[in-house]
Amino acid sequence: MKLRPVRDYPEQGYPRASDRWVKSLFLAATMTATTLGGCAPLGDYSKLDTADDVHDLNGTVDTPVADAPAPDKNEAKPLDSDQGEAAGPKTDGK
Amino acid sequence: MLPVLNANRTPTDAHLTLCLTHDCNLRCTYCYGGRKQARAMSAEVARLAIERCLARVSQRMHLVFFGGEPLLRWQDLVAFTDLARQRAAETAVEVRPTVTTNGTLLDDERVAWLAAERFLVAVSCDGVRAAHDRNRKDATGGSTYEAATAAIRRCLAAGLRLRVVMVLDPSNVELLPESVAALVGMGARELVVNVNWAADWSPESVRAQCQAAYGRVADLYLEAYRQRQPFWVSLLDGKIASHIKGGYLPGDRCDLGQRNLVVAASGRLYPCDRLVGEDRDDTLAIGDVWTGPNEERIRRLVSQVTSPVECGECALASRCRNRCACANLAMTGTIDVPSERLCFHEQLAIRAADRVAQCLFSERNPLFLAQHYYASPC
Repeated sequence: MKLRPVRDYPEQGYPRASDRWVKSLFLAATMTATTLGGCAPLGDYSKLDTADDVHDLNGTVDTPVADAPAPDKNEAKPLDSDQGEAAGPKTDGK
Repeated sequence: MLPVLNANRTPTDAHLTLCLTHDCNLRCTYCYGGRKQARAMSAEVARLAIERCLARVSQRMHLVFFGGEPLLRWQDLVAFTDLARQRAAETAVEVRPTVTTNGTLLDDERVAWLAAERFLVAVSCDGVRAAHDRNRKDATGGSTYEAATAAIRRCLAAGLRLRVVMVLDPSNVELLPESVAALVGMGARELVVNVNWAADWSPESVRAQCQAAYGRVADLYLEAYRQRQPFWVSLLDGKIASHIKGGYLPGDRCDLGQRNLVVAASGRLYPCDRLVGEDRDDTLAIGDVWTGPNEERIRRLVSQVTSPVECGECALASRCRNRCACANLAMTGTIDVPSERLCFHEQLAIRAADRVAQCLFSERNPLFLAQHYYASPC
C-alpha cells in the first residue's frame, strides 16, 4: 500500500513551546533510545536527568548552555499564550 | 541531515549497549534477535567497549545491558557494571545503568542488587495474561505471564525505577487498553508501547481493532490525569511532546550510532540493537571494539535515511518516525523507505495524543500542565 500523507490537519488547541531551552528539554524527552525499550519516541529519563543537571540536552554539547538560561517559573505562563513555556515529562511524583 | 558528532566537542552523555548474549530462555514470536544461541560477550570486548565509550563522553555513560536475555549472564552483568564504574571514576564520568529483561530470571536477591546499584529496569510484558501469553512463551511454549508480572511487582516493591515494555501486535492489539489498565493498576507508571513493524497490519479488522485500542488508551490516559493518577505512555506522551516543541528536531530521531553505540557479543558495533540480529550481516555494522566506530560508515548510513517525496506533502511529517531506520528495515527491507503501516500507526497516535492533550489543556489540568509545560530546573 502507498504512503498516505495527511494534507490538512487542524491547528491544535494546546500551545507550542517557543523557548530554546524548553525545546531542548523536549528533545531529550522524546529522544529515540532504542535499547531503553525499543525504537520509539520515548521519554528517555536518563537524558532528562541530564537536562535537570546541566540544561543541556542534545548530548553533543559539553558545557551548560549559557545563552539559554532556565526559564523563571514565574514567567511560565502557558495558559494565556500560544507561546507557553514548556518542559519535558517529570520523573518525580509518578 | 542528521547532525554528525563534532570531533572538537566531547558529548556530555553517551549510551553504550552491551548485548551480553544471543541466548534467551523465551521464544517470543516477534523477536528480532534471530536464532537463539549461546554466544556471549567476553570480558575483553566489554572492557574495550567501555573504554571506547568513556573516551568520548564527558559526564555520563548510560550503560545498557541487553540481549538475548542479559540476565542469563548475571555474573557478567555484575562484573561489567563494576568495571564500568571503576573506569568511569578515573575520568569522573557517572555511570547510569539500565537492564532490559524479560523478568523471568529476576529474584529478590538480584532485584536488591539492581536497586543498590540504582538500575533502571525495563521489563518486557505485554499486559494482561491473554495478551502476554499470545506471543511471549518460554522455550517449551509455556506461559511466562506469572514470572513477568512477579518481576514487575518485585521491582516496584524494591523501589526500583521501572519501565514496562509492551509489544503491540495484531494478535494482542484488541487487548491493549485492558493491558495498559492492568499494568497501571499494578503500579507501573512508565509504559513503552512498541509496534511490531514486521507484522501484517493490513486487514481491515485489525485496523479497526487498532483504531479502537488507541482511542481507549487515550481515554484511560485522560481519566488517569483527571483522577490525579497519571501515567506516562510512549504512544501518547511522545506525540504530545512532538507538538509542543513543534516537531521532532534532528537529534530526536535515530542518530545511527553517533550517540548510542550497540555492541554485539562478538565485539561488532551497531547503531541500534534492532540491527544486531544474529550479528551476521556486515552491511549494518559500523565497526568493532578493536578499531572503533567507522565514522565514514556512519555518515553514509545517515545520508541514506531521507524522507520520501510523499512525506514532504504530509502535514504530520515533522511528528512522524518516518526516518526510523530500524522500523523501515522491518517494514520494507530498506532503511530509508517507510511503509504505509507506519502512516497508519503514526496518524492514529498523533490524533489520539492531540485529542487528550487538547482536552487536558482546556481543562487546565494541573498535573498535565506540570508534566508538559512547567519547567523544573534543578
